Amino acid sequence: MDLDDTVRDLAPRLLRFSLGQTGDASLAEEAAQEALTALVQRWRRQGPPECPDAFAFAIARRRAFRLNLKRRLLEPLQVLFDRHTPEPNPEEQAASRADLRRLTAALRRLAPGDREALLLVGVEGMELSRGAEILGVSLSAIKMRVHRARKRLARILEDGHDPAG
Amino acid sequence: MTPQDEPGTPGDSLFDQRLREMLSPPPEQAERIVRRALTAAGAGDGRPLRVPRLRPLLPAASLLVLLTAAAVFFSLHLLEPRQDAVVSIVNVGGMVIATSEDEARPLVLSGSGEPQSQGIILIRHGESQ
Repeated sequence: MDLDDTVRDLAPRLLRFSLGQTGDASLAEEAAQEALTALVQRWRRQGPPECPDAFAFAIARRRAFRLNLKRRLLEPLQVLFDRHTPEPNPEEQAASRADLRRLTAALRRLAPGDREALLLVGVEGMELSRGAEILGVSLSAIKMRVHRARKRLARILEDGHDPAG
Repeated sequence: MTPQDEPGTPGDSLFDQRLREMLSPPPEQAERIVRRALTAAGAGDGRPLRVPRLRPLLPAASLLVLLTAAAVFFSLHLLEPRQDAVVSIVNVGGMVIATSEDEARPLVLSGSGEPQSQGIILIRHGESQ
């Protein structure tokens, strides 16, 4: 197992996961960057973790949660002060494509636990048992979450209808 | 894949594949975070790993220091030599005589607050009259 290869393999996966979690390209980059840096530091100082994927995704998950929380707290202030947002960089422009915007908006309508399960297991192809370990739930619970998330997301994307209200 | 890790249906796989494609970042963004991670983490190379072995002992050590300080303070206070008594009270044939060896501290004051060299103290039991 080589550090460089692992990092290169994980980078796009962490970015995808974090984008699905936050719905924002710059926040996703921040979360993925922190997870990847933590993994490299850990690897060089103490050797590779037992499962680098689980290590990095667990950090990205926590970071994305904090970033979402911070954004929700700061949103009213940004509206209040009418803060001007800078011009988006090329990645943000790409991320602002209509279909992606629609998808991230739909993902944000899912329950956080369902969304995480779908992103880890469905999108990233992580083993159910590993995903369950990261999320701290049972195998049957994560199966149910993935199934529920797929069904609900498909309905939302189809016609904007949310079966759960 | 563990026995419990069952694959989804072909429809699920297509759905997941579509999500993966839509969420995939531009290659330059992935390359950027790889470069930063390897560089930023590399800045710490060669540094000895700092293991906070003594950190768990910090509360106990603080408590120990406080207790020691308190013990030293009280022991000094208690062991301080007591001053010699400046007043002696002696019963001579039923008469109680109090004598002050310190002239600066009169035992008896007059009504106007003047020190008196001597006086009579009446001690009564029962109701005052």
